[in-house]
Amino acid sequence: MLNATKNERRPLDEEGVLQARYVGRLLTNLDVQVECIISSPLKRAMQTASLVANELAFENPVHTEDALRPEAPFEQFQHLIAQHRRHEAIILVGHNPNLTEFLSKTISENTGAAQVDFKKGAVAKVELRGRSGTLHWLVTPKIARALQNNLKSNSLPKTSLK
Amino acid sequence: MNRSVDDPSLYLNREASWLAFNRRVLEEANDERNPVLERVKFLAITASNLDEFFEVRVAGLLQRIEDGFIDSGPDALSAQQERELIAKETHEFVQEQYSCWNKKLLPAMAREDIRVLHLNELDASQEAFIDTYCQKEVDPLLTPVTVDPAHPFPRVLNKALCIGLLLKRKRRATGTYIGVITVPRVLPRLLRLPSKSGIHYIFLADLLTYYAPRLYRGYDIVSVASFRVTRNSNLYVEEEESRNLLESVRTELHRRRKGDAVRLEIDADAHPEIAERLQQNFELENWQVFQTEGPVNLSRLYNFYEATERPELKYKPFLSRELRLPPSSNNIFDELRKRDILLHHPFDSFEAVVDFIESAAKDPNVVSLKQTIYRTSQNSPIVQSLIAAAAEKEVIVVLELKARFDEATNIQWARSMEDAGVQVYHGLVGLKTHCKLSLLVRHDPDGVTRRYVHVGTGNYNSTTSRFYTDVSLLTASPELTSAVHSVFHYLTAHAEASTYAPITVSPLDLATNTLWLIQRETEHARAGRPARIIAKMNALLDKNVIQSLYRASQEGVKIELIVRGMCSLRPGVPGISENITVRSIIGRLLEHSRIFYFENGGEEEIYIASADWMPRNLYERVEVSCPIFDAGLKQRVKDEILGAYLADNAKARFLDRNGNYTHLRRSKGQQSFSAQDFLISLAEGSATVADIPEPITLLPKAERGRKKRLVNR
Repeated sequence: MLNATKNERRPLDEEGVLQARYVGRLLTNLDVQVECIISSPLKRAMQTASLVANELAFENPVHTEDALRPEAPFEQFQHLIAQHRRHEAIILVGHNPNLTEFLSKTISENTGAAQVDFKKGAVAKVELRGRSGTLHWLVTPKIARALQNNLKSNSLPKTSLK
Repeated sequence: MNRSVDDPSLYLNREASWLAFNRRVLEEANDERNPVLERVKFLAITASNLDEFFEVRVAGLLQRIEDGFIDSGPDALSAQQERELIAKETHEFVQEQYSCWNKKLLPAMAREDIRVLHLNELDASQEAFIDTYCQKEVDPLLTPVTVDPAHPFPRVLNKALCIGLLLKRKRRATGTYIGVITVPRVLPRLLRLPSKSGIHYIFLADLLTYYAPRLYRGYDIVSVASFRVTRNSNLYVEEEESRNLLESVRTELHRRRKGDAVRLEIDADAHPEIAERLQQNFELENWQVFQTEGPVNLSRLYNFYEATERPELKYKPFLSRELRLPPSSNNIFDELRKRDILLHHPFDSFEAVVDFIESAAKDPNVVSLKQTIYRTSQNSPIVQSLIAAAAEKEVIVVLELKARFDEATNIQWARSMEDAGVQVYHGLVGLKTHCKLSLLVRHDPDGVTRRYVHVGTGNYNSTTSRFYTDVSLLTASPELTSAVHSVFHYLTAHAEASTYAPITVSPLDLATNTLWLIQRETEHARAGRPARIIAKMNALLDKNVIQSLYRASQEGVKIELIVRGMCSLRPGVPGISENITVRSIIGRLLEHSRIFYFENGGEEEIYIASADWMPRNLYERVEVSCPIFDAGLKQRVKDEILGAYLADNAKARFLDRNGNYTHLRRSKGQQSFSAQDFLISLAEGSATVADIPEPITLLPKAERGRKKRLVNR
């Protein structure tokens, strides 16, 4: 039990913080707009979620849901999705191995036949129609970083908002 | 030969005038006659006013300079000159704000046993409390970020409280790093501490400067400071280009969050390197950096007002007068068929207007409802009535999507209303729908189908209607209701009528009509007939109107202007404006009504309007000016409302030709008379119109030299 609590409260390490920020930055550059950000209650997930929220300038509080805990079953995850079906777009932050399983099942009509390498720190966009999902893209932290660094090396003029 | 009214020296600079307005609000914070928690609230208001000033005006100015726009206002100050003026005056103002906080308000609250403690002043139980609080509430929500030149700077949200740290890696000799922690909005900025006696608070920012270093293991903390970044919040929507206005506004809203930084506020005792690195990162000039001798977010002082349960340190709440119908009328429609109703909010309750719409929504005899909405409250009962009514009636709403800072709320309302079957329109391209109109069509018991209308000077917002002054007219007059019907036609079908008489409408004929009314008064004066103008509004900036008023004054028209905020007109200039006075009333309530009186040679006319005398109201928005025909109501506006404001010698500040506002010094034995306090007493039944003293009009020339001026009591 003690280990479980320690695990719950383990914060992101510096690398984790950087990864989350890059993913957040990527989502911003893609002009992603979401209505809701939901995270597993574990500290590292919440921190990831708030870093992403911050980069997106998303000002509402991050919600926590047990359905995103490392040990939560797929049915719980499905239930969570169903609860938010009136939203146009949401972000979910969870853990492996079950998040990989959720992603795979969502895009393969619940069979789990889809083989996905959903690395730690990666982000995937899934378009849902009812319970059936289509994977639009998946970006690893390495890719997010490479994209950002590539942008940085081009000189950007300072422009205000137009 | 009359002097030319075109000279730029005859116009006060708009930004300078706005800053003078905010100084008047600060005066209220410094005024010891106000209850102490209200003073704290006034200070918080000056801070949120200043936030918006930077987000909109300063940001817009810097944008124009960057884009190379060199246009000026009537005062002909260049954009660069304005920037210098703003730089100097805002720094002075901020010093005055903190002086007020540190030297006046903190001690005043301490005298009432309300204290803000520093970390080193906590007793044992309070220390234990904050330790627990940090662990349970704060720690889970904070994520420390270290700034590394190899990686992008962390995003700092507009106006969010942030903690900046200057760090050194442990066991490494060289290099300093900056740490940044954004404090989530969900954490309260003011924390109530347990105390044996009295009320003790601690600022969250102080707490975090103490706690934040724990998040940076592996680093030595050189310095910790709180800071706050303010960003350009102007929306730039290309209306003509956008196919779907709602989507365009949504997208722009999203982008607003990433506007350029225009100001940095940081603890005065921050290590200079933190301020420098931040300033560099946000590309700010020195004048855009403000060092604060106190909490960086003064607007959050409002929490003191909310959280502290000491009603004796706040204004005594007053009861708005409910609209009572005589027994001969079963409902408001019966009454309106007999006579028009005028309401002066908040002295007369806004509930009457809400009821008017609610009863229409529920009444099976009402077949159609039309409404304009500019700003409304979060849980607007009016919108909810309209949604409920849509099931059985024709409900049409003209909803402004670009009401600044309310865009998101209005978008949500648009969706909810459309879902319920309300026909939602967004008005005319490029023109904000600012008029405040309600129209309903009813099959009356006598078999006639009639229109009933509400025309207002203020928004359909139950929250603000409690502390904004505004005027409402409810009427069933066929002339007026038919005109309002035409205005809705203009708004929804984009079809202009040749006239909307007796109403006038911006941008069609309101401006020309206003100039014509002033011109008519000028001719009365020239012909030796009684000529007087009394105009109450929020701001006077339009050059055409000002010139017209100057010419009227030159011919002898007596002009009293009651302008709460910005005023570019210079009163009392020899040969130009000797017959013009300008006063501003700043008090417990926010003066918001727009009322216009013309003596017209003895056939007095009174108008209420949604428009101030600013270019945006006259030319860039849809506004309405509506006459009051009923003799009794006209009398009430003239004697009670305008009469009270003109007699105010407590909260009225008089503008002189140099742009300075001063209180009038009362003569010996003269009683203090506050229009707002009087109108409250009147509504509560403890005063009558007879209690209004003589209006303070123009001073005869001889006295003007000897009058002493009093600033900042």
